[in-house]
Amino acid sequence: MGDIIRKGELKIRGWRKALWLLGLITVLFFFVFPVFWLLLTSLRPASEVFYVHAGKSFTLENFVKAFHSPRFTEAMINSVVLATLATVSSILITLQSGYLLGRFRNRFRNTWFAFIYVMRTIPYITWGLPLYLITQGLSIYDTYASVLFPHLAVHVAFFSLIMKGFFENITASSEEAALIDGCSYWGVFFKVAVPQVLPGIFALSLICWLWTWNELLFAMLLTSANTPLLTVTIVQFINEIGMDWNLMAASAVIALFPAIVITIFGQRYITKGLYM
Amino acid sequence: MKPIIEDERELLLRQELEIGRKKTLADKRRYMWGLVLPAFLILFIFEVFPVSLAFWTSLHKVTLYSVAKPFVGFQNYINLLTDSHFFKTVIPNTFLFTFVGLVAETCLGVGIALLLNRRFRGESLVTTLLLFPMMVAPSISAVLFAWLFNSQFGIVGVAFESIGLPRIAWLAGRWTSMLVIIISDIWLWTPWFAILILAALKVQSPSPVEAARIDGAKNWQVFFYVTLPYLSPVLTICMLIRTFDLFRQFDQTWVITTGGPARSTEFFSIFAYKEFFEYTNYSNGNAAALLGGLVMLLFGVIMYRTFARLIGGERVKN
Repeated sequence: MGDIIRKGELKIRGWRKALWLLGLITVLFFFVFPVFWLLLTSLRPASEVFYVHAGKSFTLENFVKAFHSPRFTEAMINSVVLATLATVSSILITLQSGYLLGRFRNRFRNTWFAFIYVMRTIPYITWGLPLYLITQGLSIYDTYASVLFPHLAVHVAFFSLIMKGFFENITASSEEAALIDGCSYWGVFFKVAVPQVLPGIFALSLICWLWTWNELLFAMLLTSANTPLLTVTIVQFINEIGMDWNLMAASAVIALFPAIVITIFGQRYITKGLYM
Repeated sequence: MKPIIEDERELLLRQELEIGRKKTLADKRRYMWGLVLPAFLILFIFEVFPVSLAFWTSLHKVTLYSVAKPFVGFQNYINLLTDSHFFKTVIPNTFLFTFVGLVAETCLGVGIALLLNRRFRGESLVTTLLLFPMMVAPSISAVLFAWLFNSQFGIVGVAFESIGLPRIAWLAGRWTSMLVIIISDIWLWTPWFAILILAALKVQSPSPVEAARIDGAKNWQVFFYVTLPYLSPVLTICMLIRTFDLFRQFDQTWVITTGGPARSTEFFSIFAYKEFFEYTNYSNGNAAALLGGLVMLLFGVIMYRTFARLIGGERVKN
């Protein structure tokens, strides 16, 4: 009975171990290579971009060029501002709605859950198209507001459910104690409940920020020349600069930068935030 | 797995009796409304209202240059469903992509999770590398794969040539373009499956597996009769969430093919977008987007009724 599996310590030797290693290497290659290739392309001078694999020289010129494009830097700043605004507001909003979902067991809570769930099923394009006309009607088209609020709507439907999990995983006893001591409902919420889920909030903020930074469809639908956003600008580059894949790669690497930083430094927190 | 929280954790409901008159039922109702009000307003103004407007538009003939918006009933929907491009290309594309993507991501995700479910050196590095694609923007992942599969200069072509295979113009054909889009989606989302399933595997109790082995079960039997049933709640949730997102996928297709060549890789999102902006046929675009939305809504409701407890929306017992 030597080969009974004990948790996580399966002993494998010989060809099975070799097979396992081969599998691991294949998986890693598939997930790492595309990014590695983009990085390499972004470091090649324009003359070598069509044979990246055979090139020999490296240059930072592509990045310098990208940063010298005024539209690109403007788009980057806009994306940072938008992502930050969206994160702050949607965390506040979803905390409350998640608290209701996580702490209450009654008809009101179940109705709210069903409502959020239904909102979650509706594809973005279905409400994105009319929003194009609505934001123009409200004359907020092509401003931060036009794209911020739809993002918040997306976040409410997603993150309330994650927040719900955070609150379900902590005990309610201290909140009950505070209530009995005469604390108000809102006092309990802000002073007792919220501080207990701060690590989760932090993880979710990182994810929320990246989501907004990464989003393309609403940005395409609801912004234009006055408020260019990064993803849209990069996608337009493809059509405009066509063959300049080295510049393309450099701007894509810049767009990836926050993702790289957050993966490396926020990994510990993020894995928690993914359980939904 | 997370323990299912039972009603004893319910807060603020029992309290009313104990605290007495100070906090009345009306106070609690006001509190609950206060908690959801901002979220409700945002969802209502920026999601419910637009969808209603889309519905109104889809029942009228609205185009960019005409002032009159005559009521046409379901004519737009009939036009759409009799449009052979929409019916024979767009709808099959959408369902095919959703199905193939879902199956591939689930299977690969389970496979990778099983592969990683043991202790080895460099475990945390591997997790970090696996976590990374999830943080990448779909549009950027599309850029990655558009470049890898570039017909003239892509490294995939170079690799194919070096082992004696013909160079393929990937993005010039319908099915090869589709394949590139699916691969980019697999790259982006398989890690999500893998990491969530791996987390579930790590807290799996070893005793059922051991018992099965002592009874002489083979590896595949252990997997199909013990591990898979254990994983089914996680898998159900993951697959459900992915179905919504695969169905509405827009970013990758837009960047890799913009629905081309010759509109052959259009999904319903792309089709609706193009009808709306390129052909400024607002009614048709909205009708297509609503049809897609209706499909997902029905699917979602059926799933909700089947898996209410699992999803987390316990229904009220009367």
